[in-house]
Amino acid sequence: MSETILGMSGIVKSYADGEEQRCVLDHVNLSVGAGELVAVVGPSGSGKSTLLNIAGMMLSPDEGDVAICGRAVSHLPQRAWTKLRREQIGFIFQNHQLLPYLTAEEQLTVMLGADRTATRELFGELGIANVATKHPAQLSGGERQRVAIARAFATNARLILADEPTASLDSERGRQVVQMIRQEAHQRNKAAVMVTHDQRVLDLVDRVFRMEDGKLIAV
Amino acid sequence: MRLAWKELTYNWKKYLLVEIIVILMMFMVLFLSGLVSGLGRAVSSGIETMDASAFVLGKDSEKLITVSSLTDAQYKKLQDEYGSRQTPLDIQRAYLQKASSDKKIDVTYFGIDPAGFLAPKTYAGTGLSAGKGEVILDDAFQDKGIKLGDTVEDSSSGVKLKVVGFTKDKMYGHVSVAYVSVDTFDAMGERGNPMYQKAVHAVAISGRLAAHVKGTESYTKAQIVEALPGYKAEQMTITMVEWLLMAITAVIIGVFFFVINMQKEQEFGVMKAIGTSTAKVSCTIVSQVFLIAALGAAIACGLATAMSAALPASMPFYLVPAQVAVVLVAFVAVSILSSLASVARVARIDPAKVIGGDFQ
Repeated sequence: MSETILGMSGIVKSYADGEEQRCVLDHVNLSVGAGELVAVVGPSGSGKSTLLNIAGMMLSPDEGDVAICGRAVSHLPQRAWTKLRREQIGFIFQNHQLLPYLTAEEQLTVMLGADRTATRELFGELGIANVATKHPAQLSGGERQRVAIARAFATNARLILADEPTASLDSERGRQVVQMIRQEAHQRNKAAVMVTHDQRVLDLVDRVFRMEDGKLIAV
Repeated sequence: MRLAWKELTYNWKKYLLVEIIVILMMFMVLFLSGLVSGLGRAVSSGIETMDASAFVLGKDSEKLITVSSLTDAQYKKLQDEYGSRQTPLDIQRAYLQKASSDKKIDVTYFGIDPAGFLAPKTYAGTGLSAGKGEVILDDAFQDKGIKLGDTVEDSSSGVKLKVVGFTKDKMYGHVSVAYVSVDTFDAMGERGNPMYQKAVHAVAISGRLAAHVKGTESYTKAQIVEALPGYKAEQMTITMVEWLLMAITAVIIGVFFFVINMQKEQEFGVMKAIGTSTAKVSCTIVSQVFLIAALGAAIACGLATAMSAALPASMPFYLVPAQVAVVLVAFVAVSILSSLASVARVARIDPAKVIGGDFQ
């Protein structure tokens, strides 16, 4: 097996639900290697988002360990988490989440300190070179999501985490978006985890997991 | 800073409104500042602009030159002690009128020695000569239609005075000053009141105070100005309003930004999620507040300066650069302090909410 980029083992996370403790993640293990695109599916509230938040260094697990590129990270302080998110992880959110007051290329250059020439090149690859100087409000839904994808690829992070990246797109554009993530993972040897509801794109991913009652089951 | 500026310019309509409010309120603050100094000068400029460092008054005069009087013996001793470093000063509120008119005009007579150091600088006409019957007026009398060479009449005594010169910026207790020689002053007193007792009110001293003369009290110029009727009360009231308004404006900016930033929680969450440090996010907020406050202060300062130049001379409005600078710097500082409320809130935003659509 290739190099492991994301390693999660024995992850437990529970929330207070009224007076009871509800276990959202019950000893979950997930390991994603370089050059691999993994999808996590499951009903709403099954813990997919919590899993992604823990993998993305935004939430700490109650138990278990997270390792990124072979380095254990869950015990590090908050400040280090922020730095790790910037350097090691590329995020793709539902509804693009671009900053409205920055142009497409500034989302990468100003926010992440990406090189301008490299940004233009990346935009060319994703077919959005013509929108580089436009603000998000002037872009179509598909263009916005592709700018958001470019942002996730810009720092050359080895791990890409996508939260419902096709949610606001039609099926054709949704497929294109997943293909871009798949291509990035395969060609640049990155690991990608995608949480999705969209059954139509599952043929593009390498492995599919189903989240049910706090357990992660390979499909 | 770059991010802060980009957001300000992108949402320029929203921030322009905030800026306009800041400019108007700061303009009001500076207007009050100008009024404080202007009114202060209207009360005290006659004393303030004197080359004297201290005054010697009679005992029990409560620091008021108008009610003070020195005995001949005391005055003689002071003359011996100080030589040319002393000069007499009499002050009397009265009325005068143009020769051709019955209309009385408020005036404060300063009786001085034309050869002493209290003789005012004139910008038109000459100084007082040693003789009687001459007067130098503050230029506010020009607005009342009195010209150089005219003859005015002291209302109570009927003594005629020839206007030999005009001087600037000389007021005492909101009333413009007229300089006459001590002899003229006494002549008016004797003609107006048969019981008049000729005595020097006070003596102005230039330089350091020497030995104390029995039965007299000496005060610095600042003490004399402070004790002028109405001076302290006016200054305190308006200064308090000025600083209160400044603080309120700064807090209003803080509140505006608090509300604006509350609406941007999702954006801040995303920024944090993609690895922007809380320090950088806070810096963005603080620099936005700084830009709005500093720009507003600068524009308001420009407007106030322009207005100061446009106002007529009789308006008690005077901007003191040092006082303006202090209030503007304090304003920017308090604005930044009030922006810390926004910073504290934004620092607590949890980036984990971005995933899973909690922000939608």
